[in-house]
Amino acid sequence: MLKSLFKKVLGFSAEKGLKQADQKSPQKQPLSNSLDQNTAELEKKFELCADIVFRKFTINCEPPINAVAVFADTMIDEKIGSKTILGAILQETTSLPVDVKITKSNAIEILKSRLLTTMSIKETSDLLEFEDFVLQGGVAIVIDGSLTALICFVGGLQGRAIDEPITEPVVRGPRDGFVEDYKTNISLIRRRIKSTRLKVELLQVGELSKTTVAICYIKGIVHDLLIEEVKTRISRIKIDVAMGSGPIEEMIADEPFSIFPLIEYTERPDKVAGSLAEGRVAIIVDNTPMTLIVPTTFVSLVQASEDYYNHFIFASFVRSIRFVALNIALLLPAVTVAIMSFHQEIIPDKLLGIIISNRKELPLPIWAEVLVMEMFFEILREAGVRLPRTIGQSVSIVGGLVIGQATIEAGFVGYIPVIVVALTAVASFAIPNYGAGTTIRILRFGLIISATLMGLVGVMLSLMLILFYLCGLRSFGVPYLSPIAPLIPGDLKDTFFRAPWWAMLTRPRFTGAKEPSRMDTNQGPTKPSKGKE
Amino acid sequence: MRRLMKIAILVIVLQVVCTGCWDHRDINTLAIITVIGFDKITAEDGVDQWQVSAYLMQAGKAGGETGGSAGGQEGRPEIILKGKGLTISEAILDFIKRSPRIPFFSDAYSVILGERVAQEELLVVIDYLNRLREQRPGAFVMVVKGAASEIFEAEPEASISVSRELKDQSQNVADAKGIAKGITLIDFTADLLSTDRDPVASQIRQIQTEEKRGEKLAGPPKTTLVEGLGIFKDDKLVGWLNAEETIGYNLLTSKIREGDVLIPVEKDGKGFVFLIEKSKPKIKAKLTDDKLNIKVEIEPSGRITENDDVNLAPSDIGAVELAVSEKIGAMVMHTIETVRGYESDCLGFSEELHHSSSKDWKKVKEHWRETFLDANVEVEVRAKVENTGRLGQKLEMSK
Repeated sequence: MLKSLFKKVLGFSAEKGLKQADQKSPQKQPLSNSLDQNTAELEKKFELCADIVFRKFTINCEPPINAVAVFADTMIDEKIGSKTILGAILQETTSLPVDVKITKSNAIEILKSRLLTTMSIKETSDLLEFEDFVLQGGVAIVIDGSLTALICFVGGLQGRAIDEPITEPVVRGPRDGFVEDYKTNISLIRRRIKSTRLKVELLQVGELSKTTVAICYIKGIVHDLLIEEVKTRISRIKIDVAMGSGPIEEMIADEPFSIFPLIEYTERPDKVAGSLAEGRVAIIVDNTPMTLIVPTTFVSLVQASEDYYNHFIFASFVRSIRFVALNIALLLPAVTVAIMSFHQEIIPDKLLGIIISNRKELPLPIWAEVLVMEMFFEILREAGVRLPRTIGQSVSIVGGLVIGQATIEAGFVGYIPVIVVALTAVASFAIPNYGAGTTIRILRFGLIISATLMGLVGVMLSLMLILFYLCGLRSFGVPYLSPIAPLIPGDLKDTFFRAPWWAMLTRPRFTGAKEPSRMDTNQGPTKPSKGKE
Repeated sequence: MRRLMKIAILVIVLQVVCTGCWDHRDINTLAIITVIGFDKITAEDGVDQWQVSAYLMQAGKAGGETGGSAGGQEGRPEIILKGKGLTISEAILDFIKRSPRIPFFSDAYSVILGERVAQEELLVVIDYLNRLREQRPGAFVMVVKGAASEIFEAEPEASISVSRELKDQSQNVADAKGIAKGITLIDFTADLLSTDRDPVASQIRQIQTEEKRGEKLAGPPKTTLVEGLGIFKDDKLVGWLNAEETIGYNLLTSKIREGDVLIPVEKDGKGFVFLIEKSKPKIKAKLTDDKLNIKVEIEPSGRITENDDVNLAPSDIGAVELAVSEKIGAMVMHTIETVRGYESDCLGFSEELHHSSSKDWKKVKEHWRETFLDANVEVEVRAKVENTGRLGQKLEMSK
């Protein structure tokens, strides 16, 4: 309902459609066996593409054969290209055995099997495919008189080095994070799961961008239906440019308007590997370090990868602290407003004395103060994120210290809203998932307004509504609140606390039911004397 | 999704339409009443009137030094307001109309009843307090000899405000010193309305301090003390228990857990002080031939804090305990006799009979008060000296 309304408002009408000539999906177009004709065709295609280079050369043989190499010089390593492709073809023909003669008909075969030294070579006879390969960074070789072209991949695309994941730092745990290049990202996962059961399937999204999307899963653990669903949803996307994982996330999520993140993203390969082992599916999108993981649950939003590296007692403690922080971040301002403006009787008398002496001559009611201060903090946070890092610090000093202190000193707001906002802010930073953090931020404002209108009753009503909503959410078919609702006692081992590793015997029921056993049941620390029995 | 939307819209509409916003009141719009006192006075024209006195928490003072911005630190953290009227509500309106704020009773931890109110109009006041939507059921009910308004002339001594001092003195006082008992409104009301016992309320007094407090804080000339109990019969105040009798009352009725109750004991002409740390009363009521037999067992335990040459060797402890038991027994008996003198069963003996045997209770229901007055009361105290403090035996001069 809301979805169609939204579309209507934003300029789409089902009857009229969009005013745009239907673009015919391009037809297959075979290469001809005349080099001149092919070159003309290709030059027409790559017209005004300054980065595409046509390098004509002649293969040394009797009779000499003309050929042309087509490549985007910005996307290949020229050194390797000249050595392994052109160098090989132009210089090494003489070193061929005497009985091997290059003719127009077998040129492709000989080049491929005897001359070219690049590792990855593809053949194509379709101009469209040809075009794609060239734009992906391949060096295409078209030879006169042959109907197929050779594509050599020499790599050399400049990319960022593997770096520490900025959004998810850990104290104890691996420091490598995903980068923009999807191949590197796949390699980071493959390094952790060296098994043929780790499957990687590639899809392409975007009419213009042709973004590569890799779907990774572990065959046997994951439900086949889930993979099918992921593939269907991704291939349903018809878009011009798919920029990173954000648009894809929004296009394939279960609910169009969910404020809770229904798809998790991470830039930690270890987290992805762990999720894959639980029977989940990772969606790696080219040109973004943020990898998507589906399905996701509410609980996974407060699971940090560090929990699995730290000792389970400490990890459980931290996990429970995080739940407390989640509640503070969500509820503290609302409860403060509700108590201060409706339920003063539950404030202890000593505290009440302090509060009224502080709030004596303040111009704004408490709800307005809290709302304004929260808003102010959100602005501050946004400013801090957008600015260059060096200036960000001065923003926090000016905003936090000067304005915060000055507003109190001047008597615009009391101490309580400032304390509340500060506590809330600190608590909201304790939520490991950034997406969940933003959800909490939005809900917090709703709760403050409810508290202003109806006090604690309003807070309770809103919480019930949120709970109701959460119960109805699903992420790729998995109930969002599982394993709490529906309750799966066995899966509670990794929710409010983390069970020791030797007790994590089974995979989560919803994603890992096909192969539930994770490890041998008879493990765990034992004393030496007992172990010998 | 559609259903969720409907509910969301419903909630939003409800929030706007239902009582909500207009219940909203900011904390700085409240006139927070911390102590409220009720008096019945006769005006010059001979008409009986209510006089209600109240302490109002004053912004900027109650929080101590934190207020800061306006005004000096002089003055009290609470201001006194008094009003008169034909009804309690009118009397409260009489003073609250001077302030633009809304009266707020939730922090009235102490309710002080003047002697005349306690004797004549107790039910009216208790009805009013229980009817108030904000009044704390845990507020302490206190009675005063004379007018309640006199208490409002006192100044705080140990705490920042009188209200806090009263609250602190009432809370746990039964445990701490045994000289009074904090009776909450809800307990008082329950005892008042019950068919088998009478209520008590702690007594509050104004005292004159002797100590000087230096120049700036010129010692409070008058301050308050919660000590003793007021005894009620039905809904009338009939008498008072002094501090010692109150200790007896506490030993009879309450379980003392972390007590500090001093009992001076005399033995063979020499004295020592026993400090009760724990005590537990056990009351058994039995009806035999229309005669109520009460058996009270008290097992106080504690230590010796002061000793004037009494033998405290382990072999003599038995004798010491006996002396303590006798002394406590005498105190308790004295309390029982005093209470019976007022014809009030505030000790809960009849209640115990009611609890233990409803059949027997039915027999005496009509004349339970007389039965209580005729009852045989047997008190057995088994005191236990758990240690004699850090010193073992008495100090001996060996020069």
